[in-house]
Amino acid sequence: MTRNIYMDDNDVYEFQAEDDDGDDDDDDDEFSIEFYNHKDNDSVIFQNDIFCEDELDQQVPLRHKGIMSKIVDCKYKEYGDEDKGILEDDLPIIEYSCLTAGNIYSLMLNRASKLQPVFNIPISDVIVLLQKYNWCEERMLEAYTDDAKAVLDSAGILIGENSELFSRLKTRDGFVCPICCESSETMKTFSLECGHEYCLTCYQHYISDKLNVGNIIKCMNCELALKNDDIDIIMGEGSSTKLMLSSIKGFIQKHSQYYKWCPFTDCKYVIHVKNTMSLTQLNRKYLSPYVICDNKHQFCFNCSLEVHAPCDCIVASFWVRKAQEESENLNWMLQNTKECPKCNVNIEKNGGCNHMTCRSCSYEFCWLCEGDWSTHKGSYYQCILYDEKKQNKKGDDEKKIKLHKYSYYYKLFNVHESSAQLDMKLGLTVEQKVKSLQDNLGISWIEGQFIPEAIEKIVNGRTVLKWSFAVAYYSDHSHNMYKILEQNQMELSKAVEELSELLEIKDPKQIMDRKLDFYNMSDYVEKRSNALVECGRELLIKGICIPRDS
Amino acid sequence: MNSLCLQRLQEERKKWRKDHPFGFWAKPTKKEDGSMNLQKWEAGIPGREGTIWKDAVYPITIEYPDDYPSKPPKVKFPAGFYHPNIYPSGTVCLSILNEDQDWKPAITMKQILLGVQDLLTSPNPDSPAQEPAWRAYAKNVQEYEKKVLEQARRYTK
Repeated sequence: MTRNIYMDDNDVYEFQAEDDDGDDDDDDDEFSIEFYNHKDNDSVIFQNDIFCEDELDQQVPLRHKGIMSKIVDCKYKEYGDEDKGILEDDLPIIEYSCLTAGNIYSLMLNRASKLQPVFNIPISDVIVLLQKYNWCEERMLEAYTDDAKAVLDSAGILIGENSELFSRLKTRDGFVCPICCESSETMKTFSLECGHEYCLTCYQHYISDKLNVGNIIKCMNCELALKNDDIDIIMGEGSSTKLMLSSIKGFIQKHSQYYKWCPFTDCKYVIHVKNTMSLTQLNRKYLSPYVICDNKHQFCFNCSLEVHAPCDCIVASFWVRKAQEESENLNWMLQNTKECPKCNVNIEKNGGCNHMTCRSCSYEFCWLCEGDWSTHKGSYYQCILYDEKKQNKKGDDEKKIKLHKYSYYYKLFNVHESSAQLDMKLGLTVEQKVKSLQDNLGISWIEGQFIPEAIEKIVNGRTVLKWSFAVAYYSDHSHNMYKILEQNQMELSKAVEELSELLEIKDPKQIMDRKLDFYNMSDYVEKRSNALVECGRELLIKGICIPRDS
Repeated sequence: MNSLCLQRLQEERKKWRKDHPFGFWAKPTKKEDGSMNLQKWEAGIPGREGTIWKDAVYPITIEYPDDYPSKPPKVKFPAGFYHPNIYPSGTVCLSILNEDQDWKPAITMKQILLGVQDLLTSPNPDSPAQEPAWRAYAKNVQEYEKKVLEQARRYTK
């Protein structure tokens, strides 16, 4: 396997592993759009072993903020295995970009105009075709070269010489609309080339229902498709964009391994990861792919949770599920729903047969065994793959002890979560603090920046601390490494509290007097956070921390 | 009730009275106060001649939702009706009656009834809705035909 190292304008190295192992991203090129423009002539090919040189480590750009990958000299080294080294030689870099559904749509439009000469049909028809094939050009081209007529027919596209001349909008006297059965002297009607004519109001009703779904909208009587222009004529300028965005949303949902919505409330950004290989590579190292959207929301691309180092996604998901288990909602969901095996949307079965089609990703599966439906042909009612789930009942006492242990860690987790939230609140008022320094002591803005930096470090530190309790909960407490983890937790929590005290100071003069303390403490918190992250990861790597349901 | 829905249903009734296929019948139900309930119809579908479904008229109910004609009506046979594509509750599983599939606002009652008649004689084995009829249809044609003929006797004209 060779790796290409590209150098772009900002002198940033980006690594891209070439996909020659037939890995899970076989279908990578199925729909990929070029978001990155590397200068191909600058690319140099290195053999894998040259790549692991130390100098590269230092230059690896940290797209995701350093919590986990930037391990500076830290106390943890004293306990750790010296030979193994804590520095990773070749941490994969996640190549991603932050987009909005609108961005993606304009990129698609671009593609459509490039494809137009290939098909030799109006651009609006190309868009309908793309919509039908879920914006996947390859599949569309393949089907089109196979049987152009069938493709056009099934998408509801009519290739006619007079289609441009056809007047769609009419004002008619004495026309009775077959849908609503109304008539008036000045009734506005609409019809496509098929001649099925209905009043404008009915068409508006019909379309407004469908704009949010994102599928091709067809004539109210036959299979002919309404194009974007038609939709704009009926619903008003710009309405078709709504339909297109809904369609793009569907596209994002169906390609969730490459595209993820930012999970933060009301955030409209979509993160597109280009080299999904890096995700599996990170995974193998018990690291998680953290990404940041343009609103500065940081989250894990794998599981859409917040930054959860030192936990990997598995421990984090076990922990989160555990944390929610007490809630009524979750209990109900566990009893009455199943997760779609593909996209993890919760599905309630409220009738019908065992053939389930996920509304979100259109995956078809069997309700009983949660396997692919296509393997069930011929035996629809008897799922042969279904095994009675073993019921394991445990004694009450054991349960109580377990619950007790859990609630101990959960409380610690919660304390740090709420503290982090308070710190974040503090962060919102920090501008004022800096301003008061400026006003009272004539300090320049840039000089006052140590306060927001300290806030950032403390929030990060608390997040690491918080998630380390999840690692602690699932760890073997008799192991020596666990003691080290506890030690690390204590150190970090001491550091965090000290920094927090510093941040409580209100008097501007005193703040400036202790500026050096701020710097030192922030730095120390960062180092301790990194140490704890590494220590937690060590527990994962060595199999001391094994998440399980109990 | 939505006026759009009502107006269309009145028109559907007019059209039906003017012209409907041979052997079929359909009429709106009555409300408790004796007035006509256009949103709920009762109808009869004759089995097609020359098939195992012949010589019988199968009763159905058609319920129109308030947002008809945007949404399709619900067509039901009596509960337990024997047919691969009819749910145990009697609800018909047919693409033109599915909002997410082939329902179109222009589809008339006549088209629906003819569609259901067609479904009786040519079931769709890929979208089963009940086990006994589906299993027999796929694996044991003799038993299937026997059951259908038995059912036809129950609904003789």
